[in-house]
Amino acid sequence: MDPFRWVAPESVDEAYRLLAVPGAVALGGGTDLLLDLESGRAEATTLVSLRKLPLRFVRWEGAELRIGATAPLSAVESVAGLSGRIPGLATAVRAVGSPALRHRATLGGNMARCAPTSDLLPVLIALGATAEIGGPSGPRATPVEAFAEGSRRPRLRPGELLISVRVPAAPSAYLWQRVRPAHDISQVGVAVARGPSRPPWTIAVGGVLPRPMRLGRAEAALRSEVPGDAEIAEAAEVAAGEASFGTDRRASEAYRRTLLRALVGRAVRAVRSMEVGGRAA
Amino acid sequence: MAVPEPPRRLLGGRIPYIDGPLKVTGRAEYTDDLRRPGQLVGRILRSPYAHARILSIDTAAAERMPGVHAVLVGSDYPIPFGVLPITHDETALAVGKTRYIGDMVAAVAADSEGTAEEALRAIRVEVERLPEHLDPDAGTRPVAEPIHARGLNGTNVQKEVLQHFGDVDRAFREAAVSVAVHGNYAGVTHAFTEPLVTLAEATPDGRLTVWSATQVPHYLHRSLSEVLGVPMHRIRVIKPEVGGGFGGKSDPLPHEIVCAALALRTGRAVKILCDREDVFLTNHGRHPTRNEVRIAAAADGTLLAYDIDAVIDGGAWSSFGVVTTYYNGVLSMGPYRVPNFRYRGRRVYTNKPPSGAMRAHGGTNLRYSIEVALDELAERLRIDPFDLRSHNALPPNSTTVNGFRITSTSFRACLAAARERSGWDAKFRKLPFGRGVGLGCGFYISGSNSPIHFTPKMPQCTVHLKADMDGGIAVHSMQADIGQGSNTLLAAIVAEVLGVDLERVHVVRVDSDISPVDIGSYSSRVTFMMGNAARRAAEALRALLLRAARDLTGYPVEQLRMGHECVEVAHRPEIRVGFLEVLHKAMERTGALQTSGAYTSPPMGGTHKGARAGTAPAYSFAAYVAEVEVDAETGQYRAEKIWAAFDCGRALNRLAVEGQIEGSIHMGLGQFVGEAMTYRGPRLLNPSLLEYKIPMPGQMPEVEVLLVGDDDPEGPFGAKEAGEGPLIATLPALGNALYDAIGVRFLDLPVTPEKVLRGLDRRRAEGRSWKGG
Repeated sequence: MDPFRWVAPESVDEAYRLLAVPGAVALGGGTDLLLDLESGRAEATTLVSLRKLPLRFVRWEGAELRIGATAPLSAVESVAGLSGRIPGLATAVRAVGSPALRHRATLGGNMARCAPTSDLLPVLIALGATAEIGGPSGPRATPVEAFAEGSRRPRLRPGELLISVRVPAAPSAYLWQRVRPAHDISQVGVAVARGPSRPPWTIAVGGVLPRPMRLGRAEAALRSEVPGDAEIAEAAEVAAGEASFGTDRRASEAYRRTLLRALVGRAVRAVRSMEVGGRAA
Repeated sequence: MAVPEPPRRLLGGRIPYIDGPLKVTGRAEYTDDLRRPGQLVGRILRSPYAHARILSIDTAAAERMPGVHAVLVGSDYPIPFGVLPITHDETALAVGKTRYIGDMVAAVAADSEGTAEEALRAIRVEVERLPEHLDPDAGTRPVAEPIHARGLNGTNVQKEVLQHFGDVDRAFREAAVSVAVHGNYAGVTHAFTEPLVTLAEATPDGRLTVWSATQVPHYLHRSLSEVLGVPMHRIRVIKPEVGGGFGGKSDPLPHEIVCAALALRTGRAVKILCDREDVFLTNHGRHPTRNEVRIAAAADGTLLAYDIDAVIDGGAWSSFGVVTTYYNGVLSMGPYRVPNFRYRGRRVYTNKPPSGAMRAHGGTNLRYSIEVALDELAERLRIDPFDLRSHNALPPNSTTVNGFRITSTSFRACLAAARERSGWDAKFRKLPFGRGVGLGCGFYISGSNSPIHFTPKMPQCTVHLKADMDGGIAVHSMQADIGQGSNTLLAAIVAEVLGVDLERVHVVRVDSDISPVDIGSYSSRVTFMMGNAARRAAEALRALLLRAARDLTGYPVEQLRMGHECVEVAHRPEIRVGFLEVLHKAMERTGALQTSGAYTSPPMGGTHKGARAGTAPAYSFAAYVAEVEVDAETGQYRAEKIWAAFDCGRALNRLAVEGQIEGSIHMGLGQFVGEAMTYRGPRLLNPSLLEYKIPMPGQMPEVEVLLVGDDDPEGPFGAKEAGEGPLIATLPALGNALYDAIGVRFLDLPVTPEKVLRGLDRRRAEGRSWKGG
């Protein structure tokens, strides 16, 4: 690992200034970034630690959960009412790494690292979550789907920082598969959500290339509010054809496709049995 | 008059580890916890080339750097070494060639990690790339530029074993049925918790002290002396606590020698702490293996012959390879009677991290193929898998066709217990599609009969005891507790024989200045051999105490025995003398009492070439049933439960034996479900605990341990091994359970969900239905 400077600004304005300098990288929990620095996959001359910023909050704001960028995942998973109101997010957060890792890893870090295999991005995308960004030219908001532009590439301008994310409560599910259930990276992750203000169904997947994404054609195949098994099977088939995969050491392309088909069907059936408002039907 | 033995107080019960409180509170001292004054940091430069001739190494810039105290290259210490005296093909640092990505080329000792890393970057190595040899099958034919000059006839074959007992071809001709399976096994590695680490210090009195995370302090001691040219008596080897080994710390390893060499060169203390990637590259794990097992049987299921061929991928060095090559055939000789046996085994060098000894060394992959083939045989003959195995079980006090002496075996009792407790008869072929049960069996040596070194002639194990006026009993032995609980067992045996509380017995840390030689913790030898030596040492001490008690009580020795913390008159136990009083009486003329006990295994085995390989004073036996559940849509499956019936003779510490069995099942599960050393060309892709998939606790099945062994006639208090054998049966039990669940045989390990799906697709394409699925 090459030497780097470490600074911990006390205000977001100071953080914006520091992050505007080329070679500066924001440091959340560091569970991903530090590994990449050590292996040479990432480079940084300055690590701007966010630990002193007041962004560790997790709170309900009406029908939305608002999560500060530096809230550790363990704080998200233990927020009251999560598994009832946003079940997909509850499952996805608990899928990340291990309890020890979730005490360090932050939601903002997971989003900003934009890993194709992120367990959180699919569910945030499916739920239509909004990223709130601060920076030298003022705050702005963008759908998480647009924020996660590509692997390791969040859509942030120099000096900008992810401040928080707003996640609407909705019936939702996240299903994943891995070589081993804990302390591993998903081969495929499937998030499904249903909400009144959106197309009836949204489906987003991870473990696909080049980044977690919505599957619009599969969503369109779910025409009914409460689809039958045949309609779900058809949508799962469409999903398997729609996503693009790669072969790597975690799984082959063909196997990912098979998994996606199975998991889309299961996730839609799981959400179908939930009432809007969160309780299981 | 024979003195009645008092009931055992400790052995056979559940004895918590005596070092447990220190370990769970973080107070136990491992090598990396140790610091010496002026200690330097040692770092090693590893080769990025799989196979390359070293043309030059320029260390001048590194040597000039402030804070760098020494730089070493291969030519500084070129004397070859290796764990087996007949295959010394390793050097401390590469000499002439690098043989795999990760091979050690140069080393530095510096003031700090940063300086050491910088110095490594300043070393310039000029190489000429050589052809890479990665496929062991290709290496069985002559190749240009073999990896070692010692390869057979210009090939990369390091060792070839050919054995034939009886008449195998005739047996196959006359057999009613025969089956053949081809197994393919990825390499797996030990993944012990404590990384490799060595601290060495050269002192002005001319001595060299080496602390190391090792299973074999004695072999390390010998290798240090040979390579460094320092007489053994000037080297002191100390084994602090060791955090797991599983065979991965049972070779003297090059970084240990490099560390000591840097200490000699600098006249200071140097520590080399390997990171996890270093540990993966050092490997010495289970050989990637391809084998073919053919079995012939009579119509009633009587086994007639085995015909086995194995090609094992040795990686860059020999390590234990000669032994591994034999084991991959001869460990088939139990737990069944096999009257005709032919084996060809070849171990082939490749430009990959060296393979070596790993828990259940040589017996695991072979056993999987055999047990799957036996299930196939049972199916063809319409015989229940339990009945087939029970019918062929080796009887006690028998000899195998290749000359193994079998004394105690409770294999049939293992089968009966596993069958009954698992509810086999209500489940086998009767559970719904996707759920199944499978039987796998095991057989392993309880201590290799042959020590690796024969000179000088000496026992395989010696234990010294010292009892002094403080009433404590110090135990000195070079047996290496690496977490498996041998210190606890050693103390418990001594306490049992002497009737004293366990807290009186102190097992002194292994230190070659103090500890009498024991050849180390491998081949599941420690309980059996050290246990016998400890028992004899304690009995010698007891004899001294009884004589003193005779003087105190006036009763003849024959009528005295050890009671709890006392000596008592056997037929009048109310007449007793306290332990301390007896001890002090015994010390009157000699001072501290000192006794010694030793163990040497009896002569055994045939006279053919390689006859010693696989001989052991006793063998363990196992019969496991696994129950699995398969998700036929994703291929994901789960081991729900394993019933583990095991014959380790008498379990002396049931807590430790259960722990060994549960840990072995975890390790076997790992090799079955997902662990694999994965390569792209010569490059290891997954040298980390994230990408090398050791199962997580949630993947563990429920384990029901069934200890059914009868006392072994020669084992200490009837005990046999329980450290390695318990792994073996895990894998075939899982494989045969998958077959029962979905009708697909898996012979390519690990069995990933993807392979499960492919297998299901294949079966459906062939139009074979299975239990309605």
